Amino acid sequence: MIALHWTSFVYLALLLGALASMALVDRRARLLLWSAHPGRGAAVLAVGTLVFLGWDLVAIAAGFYSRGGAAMTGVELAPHLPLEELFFIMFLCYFTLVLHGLLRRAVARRSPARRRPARRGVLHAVPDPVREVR
Amino acid sequence: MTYAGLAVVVVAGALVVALVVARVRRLGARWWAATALAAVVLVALTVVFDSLMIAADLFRYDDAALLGVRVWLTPVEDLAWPVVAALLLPALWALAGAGDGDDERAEVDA
Repeated sequence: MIALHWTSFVYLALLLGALASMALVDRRARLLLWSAHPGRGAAVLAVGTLVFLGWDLVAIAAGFYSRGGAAMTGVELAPHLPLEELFFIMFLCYFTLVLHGLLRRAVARRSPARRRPARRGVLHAVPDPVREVR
Repeated sequence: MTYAGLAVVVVAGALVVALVVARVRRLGARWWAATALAAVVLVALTVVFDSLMIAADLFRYDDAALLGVRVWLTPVEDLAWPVVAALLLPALWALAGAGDGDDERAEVDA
């Protein structure tokens, strides 16, 4: 029996909040799902998520770690693989891609060989040629 | 196989993917610099948040399967996760043909 208490949703709520925050940064900086290629962004997120889920499943099957008891809904996608882990992995993948995108811009801007005028910051989206034409 | 053995296998796989994509997509020093910086940030955040998650009892380890070396509460093997993330995901994004387009395509390959 699953005893539902508000504490059961703490971790899931934190993860969903973190994912939503990443989406806001992504939208602002137009890095992935708000880039010129949102479909590719979604595909990369999906593939990365599957890789980490597979890693988890192998490690769990080998008995390296197992599910703890606290702050989770108790819903499992597989034995010892909590629903929350899916959202954690999605967040890890999304965060990594957003971080790398911002760092690419920062590194490009620091380079003396840059050809483009300085922009306001790494969160300032690179102009989309398609939109500029319109 | 130990947890460390599994981690080494996955890191090696991610490294191969990154090296192949870097060659195919002609990713230069700047892409690798961004990747290295991302790895450093992700490892640092992993130490903090993995430790908090362990302290919160979100998951438990079989101590017999671990090397026994921990950074705060984080088993060193877990640090393979952020390393793989930093290598694999930007490589997949570049492979998808979009990740190198916004900032690096205008650059001359060194």
